[in-house]
Amino acid sequence: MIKRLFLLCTALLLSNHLNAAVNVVATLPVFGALAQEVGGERITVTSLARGNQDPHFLDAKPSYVVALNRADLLIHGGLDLEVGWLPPILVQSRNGKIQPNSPGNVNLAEGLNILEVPKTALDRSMGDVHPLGNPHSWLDPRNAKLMAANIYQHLAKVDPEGKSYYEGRLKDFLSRINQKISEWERQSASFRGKKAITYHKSFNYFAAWTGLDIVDTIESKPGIPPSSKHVDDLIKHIPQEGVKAILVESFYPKKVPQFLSEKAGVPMLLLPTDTDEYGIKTYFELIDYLIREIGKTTG
Amino acid sequence: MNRFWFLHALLIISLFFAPLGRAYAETEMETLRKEVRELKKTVNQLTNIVQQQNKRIDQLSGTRAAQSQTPLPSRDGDHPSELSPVETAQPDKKTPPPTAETAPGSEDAEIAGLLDKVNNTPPSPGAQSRSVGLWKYPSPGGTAAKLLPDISLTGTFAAAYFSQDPTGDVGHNPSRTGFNLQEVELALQSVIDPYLRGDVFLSFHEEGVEVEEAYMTTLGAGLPRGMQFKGGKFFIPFGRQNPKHLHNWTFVDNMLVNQYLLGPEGLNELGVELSYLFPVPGFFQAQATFSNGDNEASFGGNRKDDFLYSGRVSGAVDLTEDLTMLMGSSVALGFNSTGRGNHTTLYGGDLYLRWKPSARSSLSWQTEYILRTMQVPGALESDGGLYSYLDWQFLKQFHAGFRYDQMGIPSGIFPKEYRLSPMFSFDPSEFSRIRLQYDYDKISGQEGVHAAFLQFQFTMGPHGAHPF
Repeated sequence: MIKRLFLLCTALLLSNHLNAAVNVVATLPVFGALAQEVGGERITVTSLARGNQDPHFLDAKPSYVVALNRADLLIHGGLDLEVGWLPPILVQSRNGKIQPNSPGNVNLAEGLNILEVPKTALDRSMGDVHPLGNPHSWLDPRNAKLMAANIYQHLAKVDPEGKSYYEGRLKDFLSRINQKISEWERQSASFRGKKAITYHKSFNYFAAWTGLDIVDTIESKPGIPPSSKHVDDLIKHIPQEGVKAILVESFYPKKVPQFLSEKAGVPMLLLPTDTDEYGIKTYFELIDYLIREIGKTTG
Repeated sequence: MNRFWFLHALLIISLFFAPLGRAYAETEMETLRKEVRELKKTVNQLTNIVQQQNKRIDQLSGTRAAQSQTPLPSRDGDHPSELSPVETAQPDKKTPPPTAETAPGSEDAEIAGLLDKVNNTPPSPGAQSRSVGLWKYPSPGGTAAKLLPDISLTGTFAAAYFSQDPTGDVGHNPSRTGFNLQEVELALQSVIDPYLRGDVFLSFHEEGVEVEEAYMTTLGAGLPRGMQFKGGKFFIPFGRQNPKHLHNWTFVDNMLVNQYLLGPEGLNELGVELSYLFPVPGFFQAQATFSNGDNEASFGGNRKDDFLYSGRVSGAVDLTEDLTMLMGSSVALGFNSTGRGNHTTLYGGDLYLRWKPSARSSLSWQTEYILRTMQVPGALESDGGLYSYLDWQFLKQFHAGFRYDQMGIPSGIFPKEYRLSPMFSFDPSEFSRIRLQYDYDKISGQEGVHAAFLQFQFTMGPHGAHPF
């Protein structure tokens, strides 16, 4: 019996080795989608979160531990986006290849122009503030380019044989996204300077890129559900400020935004912040969707 | 004989750690290589600058530029990236068909530019996260703080009412009618080096201070995949409740069966743990510990080689995307203090189901049974007990729960006893909690005890997230 179990284990171990594809684990589907652009057929991508899950509040599930244990490359957003669940599974993964500052650990925040880095000493009376700055960085395609390059350089390190393949794919991705960026910038010109409010600070990078003006959030402070006083204030301010739309990330509660939308007479827009929801598969489809829907409402 | 065994175990452990040394040598080679690569890069850049300046001089002095241009691949000029000269000399060898109309040179330049930005963004407040990694919060603008461990404090207080105050050592439980300091926990957590991380938890309570846990854990570098060592003082992985710290408990007080059979302070020992994650498709883990066995409730043998050995296997499976089931069974073998060589055995089985359909709601059900057989002078006493609780998070900040405790299945040293505990809690934020709980505790043959608690909890600083 024990002998048979042992044989089974060795067989499984061997099959892991024979499977040549680079095993990439991304915390969010959108990071996985970017990795797929660069890695093509040489990699297999697993995403831990689903697109419609709030990336801040996942459980450190045992199945994630298993995924990380088998990973050759871990791609995460950095800036403490996943601080509530990634550190314990990373320790439990027992995988030296993907620990922080190893070639197999890609921190996508590297090199980005990070927004809302706290300038004063922090305390939590400000809510669940991210001490390293706003981590919802991927909705600015200029950041996606940096992320793709970052993924490329790590893939080339963990799989040197595929380097020229990855380089070709990266070039292809960059030329496509450069074309799309000018297209998107043309399309989003109509909502430059238009005012909107969001539930959480998830669209701030998108806004910084397109010129959309996000004047407030429905949460009174990051991570803290809206107080009734804050909701009252918003009902007053929305018409005063000329807010055109209420943008709500798909995984937040709809009740308060719905109420605000009715009271203030401003349309509410449910939006994806990630791939793997609303039928969105690629990074391009995600930005396409956002620009199309926001354009319809504010334009 | 026993001492020989101990030496043997030490030898095995030291053998396991041997690959660390090799891995260290490898990283040293790696840094050397990196340095050489960096030097090469600098030399290349300098050569390029010199060549460009020569070109300028040539142009300025009126000579034909074509002469110097031919041997020089002009693209190399702005190429500080990792792309080696060999590859740039013959690009696109295996690449898929190029798509863009733009010249290949400008693409290379764009990649180089992006990589340069990724790798060399000058230190700005946000960029500090790069070197610090996942576990630390740097203080804005401060560089000296980088190497400090994460420091956090968790305070737990309870106002309690008992119809009859408890007696004896109750551990973290509220011990009397009135205000109780259950614990102030100081946690120091940090990565030590590429191979290890360290976690230290100091527990301050009304009687003084103690080291609740202090251990190192291997991170996987240089070890066979799936293997992990832990060493120091730590909670023995026996069941699900035992390894949990007070602020991670779902109720104000400890489970009855844990309190009686594993002791008021829990099964917390000095020793080593080896665990292994099996290379099977699901989560299947085995943990083995070898420790002193000082626990007073069930162990604490008098001979110097009365050690405690424990093992646990656990498996987990995602039944649906939102529903996870975890099952485990544990065993612990050791010697007790009732007589020379008297042994104690603990067996445990646990089941945990958690359904989490969104970030704001969840339902957990946990059940655990523990059985102890204990050799005492002239007899073998068996005691068993279980608990089962439901914890329902019905809004982001609100939990309601109910726990049932039962002792005396079978009943040996401890009488039959049961307890009912409804609970309600409000978490204003991730870092604070107010919990209300009522206990009805009935020991057979005695009058039932009513108790009510209002518990306050707060966390200061970056307290590490908790495992599942």
